[in-house]
Amino acid sequence: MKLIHTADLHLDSSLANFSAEQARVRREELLDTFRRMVEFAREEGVCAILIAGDLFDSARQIRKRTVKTLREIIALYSDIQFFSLAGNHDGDTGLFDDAEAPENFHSFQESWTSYPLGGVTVTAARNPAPEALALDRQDVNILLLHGQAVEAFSASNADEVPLRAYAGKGIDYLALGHYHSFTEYRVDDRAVACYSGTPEGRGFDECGKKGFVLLEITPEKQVIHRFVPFAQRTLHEIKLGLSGCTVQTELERRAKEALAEIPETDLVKLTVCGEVDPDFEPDYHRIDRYLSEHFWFARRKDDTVLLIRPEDYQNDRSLKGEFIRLVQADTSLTDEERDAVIRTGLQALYGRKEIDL
Amino acid sequence: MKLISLSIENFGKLHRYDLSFADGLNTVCEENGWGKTTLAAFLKAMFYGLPKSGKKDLDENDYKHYTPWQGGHFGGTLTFSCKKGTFRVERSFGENEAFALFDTATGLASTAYSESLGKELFGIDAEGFEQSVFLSIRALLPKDGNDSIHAKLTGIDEIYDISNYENAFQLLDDRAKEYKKRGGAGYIGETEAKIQNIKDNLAKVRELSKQQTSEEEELAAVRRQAAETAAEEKALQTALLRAGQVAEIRASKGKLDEFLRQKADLESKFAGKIPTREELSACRNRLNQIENERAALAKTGLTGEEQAELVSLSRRFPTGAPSAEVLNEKLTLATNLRAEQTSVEQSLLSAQSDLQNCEAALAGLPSAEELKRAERLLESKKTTAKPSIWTVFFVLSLLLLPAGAVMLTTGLWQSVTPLIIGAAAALGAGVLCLISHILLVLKRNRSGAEEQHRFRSEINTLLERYGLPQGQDAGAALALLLAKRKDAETARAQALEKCRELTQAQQECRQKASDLRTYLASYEIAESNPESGLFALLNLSRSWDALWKKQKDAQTTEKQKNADIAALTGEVEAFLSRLVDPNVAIAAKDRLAEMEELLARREALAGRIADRQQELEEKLAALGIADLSLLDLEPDPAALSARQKELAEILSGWKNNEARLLAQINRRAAETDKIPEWEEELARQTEALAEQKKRYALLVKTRDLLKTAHDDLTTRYLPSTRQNFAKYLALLCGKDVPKAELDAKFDVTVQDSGMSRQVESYSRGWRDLLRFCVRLSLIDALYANGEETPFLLLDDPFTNLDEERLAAAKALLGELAKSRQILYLVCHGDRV
Repeated sequence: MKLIHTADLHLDSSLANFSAEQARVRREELLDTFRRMVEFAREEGVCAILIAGDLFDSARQIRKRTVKTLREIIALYSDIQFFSLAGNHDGDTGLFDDAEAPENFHSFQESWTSYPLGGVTVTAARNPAPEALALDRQDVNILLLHGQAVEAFSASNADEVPLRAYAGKGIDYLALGHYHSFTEYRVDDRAVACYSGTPEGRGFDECGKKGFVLLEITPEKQVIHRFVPFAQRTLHEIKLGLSGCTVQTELERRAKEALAEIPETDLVKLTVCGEVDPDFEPDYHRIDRYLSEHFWFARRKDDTVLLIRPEDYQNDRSLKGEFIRLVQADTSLTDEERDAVIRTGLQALYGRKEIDL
Repeated sequence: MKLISLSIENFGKLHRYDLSFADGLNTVCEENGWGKTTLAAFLKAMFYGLPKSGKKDLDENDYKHYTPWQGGHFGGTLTFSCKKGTFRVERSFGENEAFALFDTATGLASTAYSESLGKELFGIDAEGFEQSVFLSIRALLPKDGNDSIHAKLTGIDEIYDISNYENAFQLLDDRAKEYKKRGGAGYIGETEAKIQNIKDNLAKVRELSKQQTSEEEELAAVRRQAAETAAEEKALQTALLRAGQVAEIRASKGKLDEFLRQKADLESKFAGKIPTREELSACRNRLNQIENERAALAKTGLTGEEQAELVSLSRRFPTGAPSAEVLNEKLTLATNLRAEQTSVEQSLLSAQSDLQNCEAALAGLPSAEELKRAERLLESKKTTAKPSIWTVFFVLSLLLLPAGAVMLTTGLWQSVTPLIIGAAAALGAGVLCLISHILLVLKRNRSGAEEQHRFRSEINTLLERYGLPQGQDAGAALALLLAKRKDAETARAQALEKCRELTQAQQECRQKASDLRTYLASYEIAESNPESGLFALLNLSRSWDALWKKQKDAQTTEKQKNADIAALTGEVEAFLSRLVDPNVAIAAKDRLAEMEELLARREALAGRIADRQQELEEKLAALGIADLSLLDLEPDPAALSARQKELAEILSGWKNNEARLLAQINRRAAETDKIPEWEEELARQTEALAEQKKRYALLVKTRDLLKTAHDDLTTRYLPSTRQNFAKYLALLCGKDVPKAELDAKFDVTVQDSGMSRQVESYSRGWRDLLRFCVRLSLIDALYANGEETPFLLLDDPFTNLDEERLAAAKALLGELAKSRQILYLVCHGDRV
């Protein structure tokens, strides 16, 4: 028997960092990945898909069209059972609680709810109480939970999943949702807990391979899990160090070398960092053009700091020296602002027509 | 520094002009047109050179202006002293432009200064020189913005970046204005407008969303009410179903009552004494018994045919029929006789057949004569087979040939001729005997073969005729034929004996049969076959016995059966009398059938009644009704039906409402589904606005800090300059010192009658006075740090001063001449 464990799809996410068109395409891709995953499930003979929370990004901005499409997909694949636990982003939507909900879609109550599935029992609760959990140890038990995995409860955070509290409960696989990258933990001798991660990264805090977990239950009642990379696009954050770089050609060479292995369909954030001499004026327009021509989405972030030594300007009897001394002495500015003001002022003094802000 | 002397070869209108300078004030008082300004220009040219220019205006083109009128060598020399020593600079202008510096102490060329002598000596460029130490009536006011002056004033190392300040400031200001302009224009204004537009749209769509939410709530309410109505309708259907079941119960109850009434009617026909099924069965049995008895009675006694047969048989057997034992004995006899006769006849036939076979066998064998002749033939053949003369020849040859050979060998060995001759004779005789033997044998064989062939042919003919195989040994075959012939003759004799014995036995059997036929004839049976006749007699005898016995038994049985029938009839009548008002006219059997029918009907009714009662109980239990009397409390089905119809209409209304609201919600959803996109766009624009504001703030902050840096840098000299300005003004104005103030651009503002006035609003004299003070204070500021202090060159700057101010100016010049060298060019003696 095969099952799929997924979570944190965050459908209808707000993607303000993208352009409106890219955001629209990316939102469609999030939904399309769900559809592709269900097709994969049918091809692989998967009998159930477990969604461990955060199917939607926000209960406030769920589109009717998305709900309709989801229902159609679920109803179309009627031989696959869908078990969905509400996550902290889903809210109390109750989207599939009405009479017209697909029969193969199953949700969970506040307290522990179990569904038998041919020798496997799928259990979850929206408000889980580990002490109230009672499972038949003869069954293969799969538990769905949504929250931050911790060793033990801390009273301050209700969204925590205290792994120690679930040890020795007869669990075979703990399907977790909330954390957006595939991660696994050992709960006890029998149980393993996994975050499937999100199937598609949405921002540059979700870089790397994304997908779902494929579970296979052997005739000996062993649960074998395997992470399946499945995202249409991968997000990359590339650090480009400019320390010691004093000419534009060297900057461009370093940038192309750092970006060489990334597919054009992926999303890239190029963070330029390191200490830059104030007299070196990098022309980022060329870098930006290269990024926009070579990747589906790319963004550049400037984290460089100006290599300014106050003693160099102590006796500098020039407007530049006077200006830098003045900026350095301005306590109302943050370090970042100070760098930005100096960089901007020097560009202006050097007569640059295009001041890079 | 100090000017020592100059020598002008040709420069403007001056030609071969020499001038020596003293310390302090050096006055050159010449009329207008003498060349005082040219002299001043020469001094400037010696320090800074005279660059060529394409400008047409002579006032702006010194090269063209001062090209010698008279031609000749264009240039001159100037001797000066400074901290580095005393030098003579020689310059030529025009086609042969040249520069040379000589140290007067050594007379050698010096590299202490380059061609940029003025800049290196005074720290300012030519324009700055003209703007500071060169004071003329036409240019008393120093021009603002001279870089070298500013650099000199501020001590700036790089003139380049200070000269870029204006552009940099403008660039930053322009970029800042791209973000924010007056009237809400610029990126920030545009983004704010977009945000406002998005907010407006969001407000509209949210209003739609509110309506949609309201409609969804209404839809939920409609669905709830529809569900409630559907539930009520379902309950009503259940009630209607129950009502139907109650109606069925009522109908069943009516039927039950009817069955009970019919049952009572039936029971009344038995006057309360209802027969049981067993009693009926017993009565039926009795009736059957009666019928059976009557039937049997009817069958009792002889039939007519039997009676006639009995009479006939009585005549045949007047003294009684022969007993079965006698008849059986006779029958056995007849049967055995028939078997014996048959056996004898078959044996006779067989014997006759054997006899015929024997005859036939004999006929198929050679006659005795033939066999005897054949025997003789065989005997003769044996006789001719005795040994003959050829055997003698053969034996002789066997004796003579070896003997001849031995003799020949011995004769040859011993060479005995007679022996050899004898041997030859023996060998010849032996050979002759052998040849004779061979010839005789050949002849015998040829005659034997012919005889053999004839004998063989005869024997074979015989054998072939009697079916014996040919080629067999003729003797054996003949012996076989002889044996066969002997056996056949023996068998024929035996067969003849057998035939005779059997013919006698046949005669005896025929006699016994005749005796039996005589016996049968005594009972009027004429049958040629005694066995058949005896069988017929036996049958007649048995029939006579049976009929006789039957006649006697019938008489006894009839009497008994009549008694039984009477008893049974009495019992039946007594039972049938239970029926009230019986129809005695009909047979008991019919009355019993009527009774059975009534009872069957009663039982059927009882069954139906029981079924109905059980059914009723079950139905009542199913509906939870304890008692039939409670049926009256059940609702009216008609009212239920009416309510159902009413509910169907209500439900239809809810469904219509639901469809309408759904369509409306879906229409709105097309708009409200865009809310997240609007919100996303709002977030995007808000972020963009924040970024724009940040960039604007960065640009403004940079611009302001750059300006502050510039101002700080360029106004560092201002306090001392102002102080000197005030000092010089006090010296020139005495007690009427105006409240004048100098700014960083060397502009003077005068506080007069409570108002700030520009210097242009004053008289020419006052203006020149104020500007003269500005120039002096500027020179003080420029060389305040002990650098090489240049001379002061005054080109008649006091022409517009009144006498009092002129006197003050001259006094000031005297005072200044104490600390620096002054070249005062003047055209009028009054101003000297």
